[in-house]
Amino acid sequence: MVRSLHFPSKTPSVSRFLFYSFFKTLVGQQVTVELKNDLAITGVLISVDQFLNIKLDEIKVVDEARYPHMIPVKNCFIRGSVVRYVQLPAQAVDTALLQDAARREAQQPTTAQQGNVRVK
Amino acid sequence: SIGETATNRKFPSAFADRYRRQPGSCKGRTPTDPYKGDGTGQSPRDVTHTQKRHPPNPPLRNSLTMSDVVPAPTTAVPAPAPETNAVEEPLDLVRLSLDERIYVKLRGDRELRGKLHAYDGHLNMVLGDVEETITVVDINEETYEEVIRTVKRNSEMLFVRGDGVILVSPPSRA
Repeated sequence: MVRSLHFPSKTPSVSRFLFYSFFKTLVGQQVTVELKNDLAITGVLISVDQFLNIKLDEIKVVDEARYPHMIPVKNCFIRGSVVRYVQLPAQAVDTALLQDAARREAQQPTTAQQGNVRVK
Repeated sequence: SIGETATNRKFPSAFADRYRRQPGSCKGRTPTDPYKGDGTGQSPRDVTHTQKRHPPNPPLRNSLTMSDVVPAPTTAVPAPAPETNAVEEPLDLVRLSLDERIYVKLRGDRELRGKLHAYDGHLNMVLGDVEETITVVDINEETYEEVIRTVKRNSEMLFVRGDGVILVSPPSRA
């Protein structure tokens, strides 16, 4: 089977999109996203995509006094590449399932190869 | 003739047939199915929009395809693979640390100690029960003395983006 550039619908759900699938299970949870510029935003996870871009609703900046410019902002889209951490509620995570998925993901070609091959 | 566009005057008819717009093709929205496989699920931009479907491009002759660059997988759906492979790549060593406590060194003078629950080829990780240590250098303006101190923070469950990771290791008992 030739692997096409478009994301094949027949691949097992784990392959190459482990954390994308993981975040999809967390939609609706309250999370805190810490960005690389040290800004931390708490909000409800609305959606996520394959790049781990994040959409948050009902946001509140963690240290509001330091970052007053976000006070009127209710929801936001965060580019995945600027995220440093995402703090998650521990009870929303099935660690056994996650570890299992990570073990399976390791058997397949890593996602790191994906970015290097762009063929037109 | 009816339906003739600039396109099919220049290209052979095969191309024109594929790229000629069908009347009404821009109208009518087919919603993306969020459960269809992975990678085509709901993206943040798609929450209010939907995407148009385009016909796939015909395969080009005499040019590289993915199969030339990446070896095609031997099976469409891999059977449960054996837990250990003969060749131990660096990521296999990380796999051995699943469900174990690990030490992660990050950019920005940060370190994490926590239990590894998941990781991928980018070194994105989910850690549980994690303690973050940030090393800060304070400089006294008068004496120009550099004071090194650490700030610690705790999280029950933390996703770490891989592009900040420098190294992963079993924790050293300091």
